[in-house]
Amino acid sequence: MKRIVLLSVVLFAISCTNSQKTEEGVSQKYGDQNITEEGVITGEELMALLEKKDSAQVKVAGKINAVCQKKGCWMYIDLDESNEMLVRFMDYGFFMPLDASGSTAIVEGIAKVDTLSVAWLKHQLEDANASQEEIDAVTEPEISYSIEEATGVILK
Amino acid sequence: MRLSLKILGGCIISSSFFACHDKVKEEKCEVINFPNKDSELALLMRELSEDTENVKSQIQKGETPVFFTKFERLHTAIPTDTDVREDGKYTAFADVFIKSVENLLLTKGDKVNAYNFMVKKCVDCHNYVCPGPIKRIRKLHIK
Repeated sequence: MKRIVLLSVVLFAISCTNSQKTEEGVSQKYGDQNITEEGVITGEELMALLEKKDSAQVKVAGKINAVCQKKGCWMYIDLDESNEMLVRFMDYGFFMPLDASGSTAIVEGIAKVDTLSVAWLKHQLEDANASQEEIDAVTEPEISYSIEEATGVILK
Repeated sequence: MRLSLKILGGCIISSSFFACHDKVKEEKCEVINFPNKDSELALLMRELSEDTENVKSQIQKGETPVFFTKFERLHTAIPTDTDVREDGKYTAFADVFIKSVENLLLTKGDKVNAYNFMVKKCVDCHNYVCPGPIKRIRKLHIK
């Protein structure tokens, strides 16, 4: 009898433990509702891929290091310790939470190495609430990894 | 013994319930496209964008274009950047855009040209004020 009760308590405890784990695993999707984590690659893998071809349809995971502070209409994710990637969203159809920096994002879209215009770089600094001095200091375009029209994002 | 079996059965069912409940949570993945507080002007732009999609379709079908957007609100809706109207350029761009809409609605000539001119006025303004949605706006162009 005691064994049966003990077994039941153990089973119950396992169930509760599982419940806690999954509560932490709840994620949020933006854009394409059907986006999954299947086939996701790392930032390093993406950079290696873009050494072989100009662009690639990918699902890449990275930590968000900056988000547009006006609307959430762009973000930067880390590809490795010294490289980052600009992400903008398909048809201006979805944005990121303003406080998403530090979260991990899985982004789906066509990645490439792009030239960011001076106008865009200045606009980006305005969105990030940079000083006029910082904005005026931008005079040259920048080469950057980018996904110009991400179709979906999973935020974790 | 019967009582023990009942207890065991009850606990197994409870465990299964929690396990299943847990699975539902695991699969839960909310879709939120606009998680931040939108300004009045941002919401007006979204409304105008949908309106223009419909007008594009009406023109392509040879129908009379109908807008529902209250264009005077371009001058009064609170923007995301509170200083956007300070230098007067946004107001000037908005006036030119409203005139292009009036021209589209009144012209007896080529509606496609008038419509594309209106879309160009959107791009001109966004080039100055907020370049983010320009790619989307260009897709409104009728080829």
